Amino acid sequence: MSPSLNATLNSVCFRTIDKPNPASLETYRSLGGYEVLKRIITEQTPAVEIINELKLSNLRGRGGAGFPTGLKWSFMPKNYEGDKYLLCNSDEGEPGTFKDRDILRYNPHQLIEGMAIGGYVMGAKTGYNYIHGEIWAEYEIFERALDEARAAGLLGDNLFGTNFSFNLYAHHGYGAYICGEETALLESVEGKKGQPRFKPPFPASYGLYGKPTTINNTETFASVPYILQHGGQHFLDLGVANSGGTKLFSVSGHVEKPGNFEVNMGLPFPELLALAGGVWKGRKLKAVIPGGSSVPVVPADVMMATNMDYDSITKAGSMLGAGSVIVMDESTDMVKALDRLSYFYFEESCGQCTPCREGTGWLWRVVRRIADGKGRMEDLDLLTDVSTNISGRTICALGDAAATPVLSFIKHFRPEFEYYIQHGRSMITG
Amino acid sequence: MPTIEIDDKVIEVKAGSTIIEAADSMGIPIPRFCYHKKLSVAANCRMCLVQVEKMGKPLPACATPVTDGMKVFTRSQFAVKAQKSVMEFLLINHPLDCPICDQGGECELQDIAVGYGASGSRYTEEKRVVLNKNIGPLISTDMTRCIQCTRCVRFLKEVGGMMELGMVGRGEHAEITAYVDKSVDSELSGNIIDLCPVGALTSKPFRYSARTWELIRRHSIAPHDGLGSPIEMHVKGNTVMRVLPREDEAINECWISDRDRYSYEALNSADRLTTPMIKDNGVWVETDWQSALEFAATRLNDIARNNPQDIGVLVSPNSTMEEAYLAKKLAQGLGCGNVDHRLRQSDFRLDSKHIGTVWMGCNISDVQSMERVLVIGSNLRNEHPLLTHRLRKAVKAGAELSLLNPIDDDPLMPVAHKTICAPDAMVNALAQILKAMSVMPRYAGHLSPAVSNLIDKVKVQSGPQSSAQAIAESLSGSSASVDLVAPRAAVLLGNIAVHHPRYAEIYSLGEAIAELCGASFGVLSEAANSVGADFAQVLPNADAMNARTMLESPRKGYLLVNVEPELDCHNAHLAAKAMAEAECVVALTVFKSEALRDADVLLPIAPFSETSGTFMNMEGRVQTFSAAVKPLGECRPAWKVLRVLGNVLNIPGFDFDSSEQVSREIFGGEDPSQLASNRLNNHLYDSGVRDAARVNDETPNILQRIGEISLYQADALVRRAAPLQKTKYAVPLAAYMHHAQLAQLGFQAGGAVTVSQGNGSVSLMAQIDDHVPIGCIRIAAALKETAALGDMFGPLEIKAVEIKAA
Amino acid sequence: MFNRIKDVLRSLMLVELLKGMMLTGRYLFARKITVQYPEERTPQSGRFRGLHALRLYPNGEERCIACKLCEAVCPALAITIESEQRDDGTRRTTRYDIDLTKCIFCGFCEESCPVDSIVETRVLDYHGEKRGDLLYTKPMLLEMGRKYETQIATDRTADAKFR
Repeated sequence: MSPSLNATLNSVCFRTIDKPNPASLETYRSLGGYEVLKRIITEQTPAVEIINELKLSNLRGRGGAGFPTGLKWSFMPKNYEGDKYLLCNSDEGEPGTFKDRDILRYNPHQLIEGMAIGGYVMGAKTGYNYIHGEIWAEYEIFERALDEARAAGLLGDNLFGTNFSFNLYAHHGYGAYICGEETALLESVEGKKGQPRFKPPFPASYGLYGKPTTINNTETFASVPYILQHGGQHFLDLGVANSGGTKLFSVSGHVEKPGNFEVNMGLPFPELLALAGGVWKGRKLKAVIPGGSSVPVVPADVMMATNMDYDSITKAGSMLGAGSVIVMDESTDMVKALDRLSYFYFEESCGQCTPCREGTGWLWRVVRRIADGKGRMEDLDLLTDVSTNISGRTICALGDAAATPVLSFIKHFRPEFEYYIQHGRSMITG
Repeated sequence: MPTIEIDDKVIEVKAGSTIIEAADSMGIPIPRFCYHKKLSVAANCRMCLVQVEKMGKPLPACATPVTDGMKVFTRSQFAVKAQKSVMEFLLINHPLDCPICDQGGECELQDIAVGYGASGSRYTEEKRVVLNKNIGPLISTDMTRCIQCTRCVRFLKEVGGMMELGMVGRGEHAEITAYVDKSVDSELSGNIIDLCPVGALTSKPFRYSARTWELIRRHSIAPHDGLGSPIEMHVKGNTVMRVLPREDEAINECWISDRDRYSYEALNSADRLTTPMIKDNGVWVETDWQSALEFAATRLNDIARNNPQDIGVLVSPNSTMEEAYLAKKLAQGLGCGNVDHRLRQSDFRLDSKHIGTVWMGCNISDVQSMERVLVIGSNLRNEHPLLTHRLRKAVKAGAELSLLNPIDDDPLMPVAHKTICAPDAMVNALAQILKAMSVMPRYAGHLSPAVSNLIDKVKVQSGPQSSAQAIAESLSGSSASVDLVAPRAAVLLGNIAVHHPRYAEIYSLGEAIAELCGASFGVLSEAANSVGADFAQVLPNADAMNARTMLESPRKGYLLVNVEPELDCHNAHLAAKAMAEAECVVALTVFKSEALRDADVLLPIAPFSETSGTFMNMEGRVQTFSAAVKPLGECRPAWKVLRVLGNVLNIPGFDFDSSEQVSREIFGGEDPSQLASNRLNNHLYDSGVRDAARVNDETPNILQRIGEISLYQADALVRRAAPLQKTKYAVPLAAYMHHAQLAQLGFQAGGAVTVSQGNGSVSLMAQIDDHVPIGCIRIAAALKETAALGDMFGPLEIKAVEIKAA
Repeated sequence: MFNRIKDVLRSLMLVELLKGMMLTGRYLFARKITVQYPEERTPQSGRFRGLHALRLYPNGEERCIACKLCEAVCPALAITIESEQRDDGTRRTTRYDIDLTKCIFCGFCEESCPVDSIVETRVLDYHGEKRGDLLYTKPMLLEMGRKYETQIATDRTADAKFR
């Protein structure tokens, strides 16, 4: 049973989107913005209460992994002497993902408030928002929002006359996909080359500059003020079991109206597709990548029967990821599509650990060779084997991310690959 | 302590250690490339993936800490499959050029590929090619072979102290490279050749000259500095082809400096003297040993018969204990007491005041656990490349390093406090530290009258600028981070201090400071056998002449053992003059040297690689080695030459058949290390020198020379090691001074100047070096270009060369 | 008893002798297989292991890269190689000696060579008048390579599919 659409579209992170001048402090305050922050700081609400509220809301990390946020916040060492840091990961670089960008563009203050609340809960006095390298305009909007917040006394030292201080800075990346990996992001903020660190130790014990650090996605932080404003139970009720609240879905590909849609968790996929205006030119749906390029592709029939929440999509054999829905219609050449995806991972591998550095290039070259009509039948097994050899053997998840599309494309669309190999041309485009 | 199980074997390991450490301690082999026990963990090669019970993914053994009850399988199907897949990834872009690769036969990739590689490759695409980098004259690169393990990067950053290599580019385009147009200049750079698990970094001088399986490994001891690193000489035929380190945790860990690694190139240089030579009416004539020895013996005997004190014996501190001892014994047999090995020392006021043999005062391995260190007069990286690494480890672990130096060269580690002053202000600076320390309540109560008397005269500059105060506080325990009541502290004197014209005062003040705060005190000895020669009493007899006076009042005859007078002595000008005026100079030498032009007979002796012998290093460790190769041509080990010379001169007690017999005589048949521990002592009988110290000297307004010995000019071998001379350390000779000094003197950088000391003068280029304090000019010693100059430290005159109009 | 008589009769009739003579007689008239060496030669296998040669590439560049595998594998220690970096940066031998008085013609050197440089030719008749004549040096071996390249190349091509 899905909640009514119209009542809840764009109700949490995109609250300001219909208002004039949505990114301004004024607009945000008119919706009750920063009041939660003021309340918890002036009332000195115990951190554990806020964490419990978040746990109740069942807010899960929106960056892709879906780790419960309340739990993550509780991992931060409480009695640590010295600096702790809070980081926001706005480095969305995955093909098909563009949701955080719109939060920065239309509702930066909700993110700022969310981070300030996080700073209060976890005892961090400093926060950084790491913004993806290819979105300069949004970076400037965010910097303006920071200035506004500072001028209004919402960021800085001794907020609201208490001894709580929180300083927030924007940090502009340079467009490397790998810097969206949390430990690579830490390295990058530290001024080093963006390369993941091996875990353990986890950032909660050894993070930025070796200090305890919590990193959350933009959407996660931006959801926090709403939850605390309306209560965890309310947020939970917006969604379905085990997937509380709303979620931003970035729908792209072969649809009439690509864009971001903030809807309740558990929305059936056909309804989301309808929101995006349906498949392009009225064509037939072929497949959907439901969570960004690094999750398995799902064939049309399975997808049409799936709801958009964590558990349902897992059941469909994929992952919700960052909610980046890539829609592919019947004219899509899956070999060419995989070629493009593999090339992305080949270019974005950081080169630190062996399987990913060597394997991504190998995968791409073989897929490219097939797409060039020079494939061999045994290449398909080779691709599967090499992908399996990469997965789970690398420092970070990029290796798995590179292997997943290859495995799932070959699994679901093997005949197309075989046709390419046998005929030297595409089954779809000829 | 957690108990874990690896491959069904149970072991208890230290908490916090990793699986690979546990496996290594049990002798269970886990393949690895990026892991190295002395470097930080990178976990990037993924070769050491192992199966851990209850884990869905294979885990890197190098980065996974052990937990109690952990069960690890290194050879299970799951683990081996992961290891084999990583091996395949490593090999797809690795060139199949093993036949022309110098690493072939000693290559970790090759070895592990035998166990984990497939017989054929599934990779049919194009292989990656990476352009080679020129990173200097010592290391040759074949970057296509690189597997990005980053051992070299981590070594240079963590051990070398400067990140000279790094990985640029992403993914497959990632490559190891130096800074744009820069070479790798670390004085420890050669170690990255040993570290490289493939043939990407190989030795340039050794390139393509031999295969590892052709080489016979013979043990030896590095003869260049007081550390005495154990080395392995790789010999083919009768030639030393290369030098590699041996591992000794207490001395060199597993590294050696470039000086120790590449000096072998001199062993085969064209400069080697291979037949005895006699100067006949000013012309050098080759001759046989019999005539040469008789010639030498007759001439020495002639002089000795007249007055034995007309002979001076100078022994290189890099000679073995046996050689030095026999030279001393020979001199005594002739009735002459003028023997010395302290060639570059100029202040001998402490002679006869030492209780025992001077040494470094602690063990080499203790240096890294020091908490406070004061180094006086040492250009650390130049003088003790590898020991500096131990100091760097200490600093990394939180130690505070203080420096008192006449030059401000970067030791590549954070320095807590430093005083950089002109050489003649160093004594005063030390006195200030002593005074600052003496007024501390803890020490004020029990000052010796001598110290009290001395420090009354000292004015300490106060205020935050005063590093004397800061150094005193640091040594006594207070610091910015952690205050300690009794820190492990050391006060160490470097070569500059030993060469200093007021060494006696520096030594005794340093000793007083150390004693007051309970620090260990010692001298970082300059040469391979400085301590050993001291120990063997290769020193002038009471009221005989020392190395300096022997040259100041020229003797009629000299016996030189492995000495190039104008390059190895404190005052080059004096040395050259003394040789020129002598009636007879008998030189035992490895090389034909321009510095021996005034000798009368040259006896070819074997360098360290061709003789057996003993070195005693700075911590008093006695290390005996044997010859790695047979002596070249007519060369003979110096101890044999001295023995026969003793026989020809009819001196009794020269019937040695082996160098062991000589060393047995030196140690009186006792256990050498026992004897060393009895006799090594840095205390002075009385501190008269300290009481008489001249402090608060008004710095006279004259320019002083800082004549340091550059890294690759320290001894006859390194001077002739061609690859080392091509490095950045072969700094162009010039008169270096502070830019303000240059402006004050009205010179232009790059302009020609004439520098004069005493009667000698040389023409040099004036250059800016802001590491030199005002009032000083830095002009390297131990170079034939500056041989006309005098003392290494002392006043000089400098003037611009006037360009005469044509 | 009967057999005894048969044996005696047989020895009297010289049956064994005649049998032997028959064999002799058959070979007396059969075609002769004796080869009149050196005017005549026995046929040789393409894999014949005779005198060594160092091959060159068609552009005249020597193949040998001084990897020293042949030296290492040689069971008779007959090969001596010295190497250095040539001015163009390549790895080359400065000395390549085969002491034919030591060589046992096992062919390991040829098998170990990664660039098909050292090969054994079909040449089997060579001599030396002094002991030193049988120490083949690099120029001599290269000359062999030049002289017999056609034959060597043909033999290797024919054998390629079995290697």
